[in-house]
Amino acid sequence: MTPDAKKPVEELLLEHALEFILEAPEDQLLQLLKDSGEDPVELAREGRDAIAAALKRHGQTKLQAARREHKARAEDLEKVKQDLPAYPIDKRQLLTELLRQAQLAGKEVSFQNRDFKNLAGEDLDKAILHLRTLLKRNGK
Amino acid sequence: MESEEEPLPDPGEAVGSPDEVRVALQNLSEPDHRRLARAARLFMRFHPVLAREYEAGELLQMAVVAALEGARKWPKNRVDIVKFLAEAMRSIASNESRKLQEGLQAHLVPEDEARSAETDDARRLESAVATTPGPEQTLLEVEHEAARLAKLALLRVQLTDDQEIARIFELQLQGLTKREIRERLGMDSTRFWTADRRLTRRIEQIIERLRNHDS
Repeated sequence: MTPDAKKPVEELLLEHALEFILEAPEDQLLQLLKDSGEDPVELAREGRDAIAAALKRHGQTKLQAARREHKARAEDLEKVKQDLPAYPIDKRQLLTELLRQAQLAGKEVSFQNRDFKNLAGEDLDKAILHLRTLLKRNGK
Repeated sequence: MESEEEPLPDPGEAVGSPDEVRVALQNLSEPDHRRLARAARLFMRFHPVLAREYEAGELLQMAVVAALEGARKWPKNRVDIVKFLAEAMRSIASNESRKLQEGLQAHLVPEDEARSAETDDARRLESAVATTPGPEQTLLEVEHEAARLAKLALLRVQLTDDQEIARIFELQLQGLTKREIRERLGMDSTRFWTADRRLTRRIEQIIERLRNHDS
């Protein structure tokens, strides 16, 4: 109990009781429970159940947040995909433009030693999507 | 108002991550569960208004969720998780009880909102303290102090039948720790804790009477 001349009496009493509950040897706490007519097994179960319920509640909140984020990302990706050009020549032109934007943004972009002029349509789509995501993140 | 006893981390101090909090919670023993549940019951006795709305277990849940969400930071290297959760419960109980008394709807989740309100309260309090108290304020303070001393006197009277617990209580009022009191009174561990248990039991009964009378 810390000395505090102005502390309300009730607070001083609460501090004393709390210190005993947290610091007393186990046998003394059990005796206090007996004196006050409380069941130690029931009390431990009450504590365990409350913690388990809180962990479950927190887990559900996290799961819901992850689902919301996943949904938002999937929607973003779908939107970007819809904007992809249909023909390889247009895809390459768009990729060139995105590379220029990425370089301006200070990004080093590599295609793992492949010349993007020889990339297939599907690879071009992937490269465009990756670059757009990169630039979008960079813009945030 | 936030409890000044709540072990808040110092700036730059290491705090437990949500994963560390979860692991610490999963490693709690049966005695730990018992102590936490007993502390929750104590706070409910201390706040009868809150006890009319919530179970003790719900108060513990609020503290655990606040710790997992990071709304209450655990100074993991300085305070063990049981004490941290107990103090978090104490602070939450105080906030929720105040809200209920003010006629506001207490709610389980937005503890961060409560902390924001606490900060506002603290600022108002600081600004009030910064100004020189007027005669009314001084009179109020004198009245509060007189009431406090009267309560302490009544309390002392209620402990006179057991000199051992009366001495322990007086030394605690002087700010001595339990270890220091034990040494000062030359008691061995068993004798000290047995007397301290009697004092705690008496104090809990007094708390119940005082709080029920106040509410």
